[in-house]
Amino acid sequence: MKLLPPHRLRPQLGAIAALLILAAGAAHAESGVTEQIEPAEIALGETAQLTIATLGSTQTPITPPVIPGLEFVAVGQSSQVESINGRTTSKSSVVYQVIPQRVGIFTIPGGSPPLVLRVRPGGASAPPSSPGAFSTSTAAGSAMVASATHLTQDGSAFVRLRLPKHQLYVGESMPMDIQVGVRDGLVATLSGLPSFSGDFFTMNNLSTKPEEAHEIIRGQPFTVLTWHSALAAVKPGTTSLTIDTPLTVRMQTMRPSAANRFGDPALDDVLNDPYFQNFFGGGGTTEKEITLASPPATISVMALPTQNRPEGFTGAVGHFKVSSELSADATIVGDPLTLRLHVSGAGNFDRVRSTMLGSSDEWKAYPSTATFTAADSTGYQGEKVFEQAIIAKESGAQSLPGLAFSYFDPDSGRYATAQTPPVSIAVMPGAASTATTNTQVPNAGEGKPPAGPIVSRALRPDHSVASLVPKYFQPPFLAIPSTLAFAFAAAWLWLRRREQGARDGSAARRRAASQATATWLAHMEAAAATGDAQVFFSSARSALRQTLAAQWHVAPQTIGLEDIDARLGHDGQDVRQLFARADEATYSGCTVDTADLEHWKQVVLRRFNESAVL
Amino acid sequence: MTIALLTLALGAGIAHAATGTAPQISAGYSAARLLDLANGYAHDGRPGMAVLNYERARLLAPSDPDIHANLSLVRTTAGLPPITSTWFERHANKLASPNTLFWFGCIGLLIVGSTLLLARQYPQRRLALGTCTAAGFALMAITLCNAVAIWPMMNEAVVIARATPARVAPVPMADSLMTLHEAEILTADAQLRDFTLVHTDAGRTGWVASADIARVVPRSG
Repeated sequence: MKLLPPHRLRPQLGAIAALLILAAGAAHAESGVTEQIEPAEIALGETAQLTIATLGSTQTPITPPVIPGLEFVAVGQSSQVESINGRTTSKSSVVYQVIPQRVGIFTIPGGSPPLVLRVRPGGASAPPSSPGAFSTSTAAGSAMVASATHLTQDGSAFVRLRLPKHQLYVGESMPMDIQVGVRDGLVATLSGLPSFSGDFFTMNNLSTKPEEAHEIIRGQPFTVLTWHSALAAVKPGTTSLTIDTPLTVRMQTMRPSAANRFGDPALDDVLNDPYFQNFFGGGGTTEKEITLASPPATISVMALPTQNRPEGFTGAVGHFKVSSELSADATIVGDPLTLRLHVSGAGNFDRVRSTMLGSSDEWKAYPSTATFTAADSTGYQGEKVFEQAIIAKESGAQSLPGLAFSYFDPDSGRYATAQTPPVSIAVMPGAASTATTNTQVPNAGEGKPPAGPIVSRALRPDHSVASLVPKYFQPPFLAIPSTLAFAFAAAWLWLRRREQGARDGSAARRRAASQATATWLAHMEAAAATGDAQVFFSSARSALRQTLAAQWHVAPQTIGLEDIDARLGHDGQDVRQLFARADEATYSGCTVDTADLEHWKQVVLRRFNESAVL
Repeated sequence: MTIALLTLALGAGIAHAATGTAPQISAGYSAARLLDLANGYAHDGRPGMAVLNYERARLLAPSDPDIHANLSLVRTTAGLPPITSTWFERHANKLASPNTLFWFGCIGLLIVGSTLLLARQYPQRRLALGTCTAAGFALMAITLCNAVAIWPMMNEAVVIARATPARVAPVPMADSLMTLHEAEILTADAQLRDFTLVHTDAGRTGWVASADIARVVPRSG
């Protein structure tokens, strides 16, 4: 195979390059690259923002343009992939901070029409401090200031810090960005996370996954990895902060013949690029572990003043706003309420504390809980919400005192106390359940008023009860039916006992009457045997009196002829005759024969037997 | 603000306003006041407190259709299923308020006791007195049925906080078993320190912070 001489190869390479450019332009058009710059005119020292977005079916890498006099620092990127009906489209965008190095009118290619950035004089310029160092001004929309960019000796990597300020107070936190730039193809891996030594600071919440962006530095593409963290000052003093990052660098060993092969510096530069050589398998590589350090940043840490320090100061340093809210505007005595204190802003939220409300005669307060919601990845900004369960002890129009929160404002260098206004609340009487620590958490989808109409009606006089417990479950009211039941049971028993007693008395009287009658009958038998008429009729009358007295429930001696006529009527004729004969025998001493005595004896026995049957 | 104005309006009698004296909040619970308080909570988007006060109002006026309608509406808006109850519970609860039925029961007991005593004394009027005794027993039975139906409400509680976690143990750092929705009705069981053991309608059990729930019938009254 015959090689063409270099001077004849040059036009052919130019043709190939033209074809590649055309192909790239076609791919650009297919993928839909859009560029936008805001604002289009700035003063020297200010920055503009360039957004490059690609939209298409394939992911096209976005690289910043290379324009002398302008530095492009990637500050953010986003990517989105959608798959609709099997067709995948991707959208990526990268936001660059455009830092002008000089005054002039710059044309940024890539857009249609090309973008134009006018840089007018004025503002603070940022000249490079050294040939290998570039300084960036304050980022647009952010207070972060990047330190100088010091490349390694072989130009393969750099580490730089972005800090909002260099003076801190003890306990104060500030956000910090650690940026590690590695040149594509020269750095193999990161061997560890960035770290620093010393006991002046603590580094909190270092992001585990760095943001990735691309920058052009000295005309070479760099991949810049950015970690976000918060730096907290621990003790006063002045110190230099240096961030160390372990890297594994791939060292290229190029063939000597590769250098200046074509005599054209531009083409030789392309051919000698490690990326180009790796692609074609040219040259060898060796890997080396190095630790890259950022340029030292001098930071002064001041002690917090002891003068005018508020009593409730807990070490919070930053800028905070407070507000409070109560879970209801009205409540019932005994019902729990939630008192919330919102502390939002930026600072060391780990030192933001509040004792909330203390118990008083009107309110019972429970220990509070705190929830922190970070607004950024480092926890430097956010909102801390203290929640406390409180219970009203007394009814009426009550007022909750305002809550105070003390902190140190590093900008003014003074202590500040934020106070929430007092909260008025109407407390209705009535006991309620006991409550303890309240942890009400907002929930999406809840807390909406009803969509439909709530039936309301005018207030009218209404019967009130002291307790919601039904009366039949309340011991004092349960005494009413209990007393009634006991009284009725006692009355029933008393009645029953009385009837039983009555029955028992009647039987006893009958037994006594029967015995007395039997005695009189025995006397009557004896008198009949001896023929003593007087004793016979007297005993017969007494026996009849006993029998009738038991039957009529009267005393035997009270029974006379009138009673016999009234109670027995015609049926008592024989009894009446016997009583008459008894009187006759007593007062006249009559005599009777045996048959007559037997007749009167049968009369008495018949009456006695009738009484026994009854 | 709505609730504050409402509560003040509740407590302030018209007579007080006319005489210019300071408004006084009348004591105790009443169905009308609880209904209006619940309506205020519902308008303010606080379904938990709204359902709690509707349930309390329902306890005092079980046959009030407005309370039932609003309670159903708030529960539906809060994404909770409608209230399900048995035939016995529906009818036993709707006869009259428990306190009214308590007096009915007392009157029934009085009738039963009196007629039984009179029947002993006047056995010849046993039929008329027996009828009265049966009526008294009926009143007592109605009250007893109402008490049986009401008894579960004595341990009911409403979730008044949003997204309340139910934990496996009564400690704040215990694992969460489930998340209870605001306005959900639970059965409260034992209480240990700051936590209450609750049972859901689905039969699940967990410990919740006592401040996140409120009993429909407060223990102390």
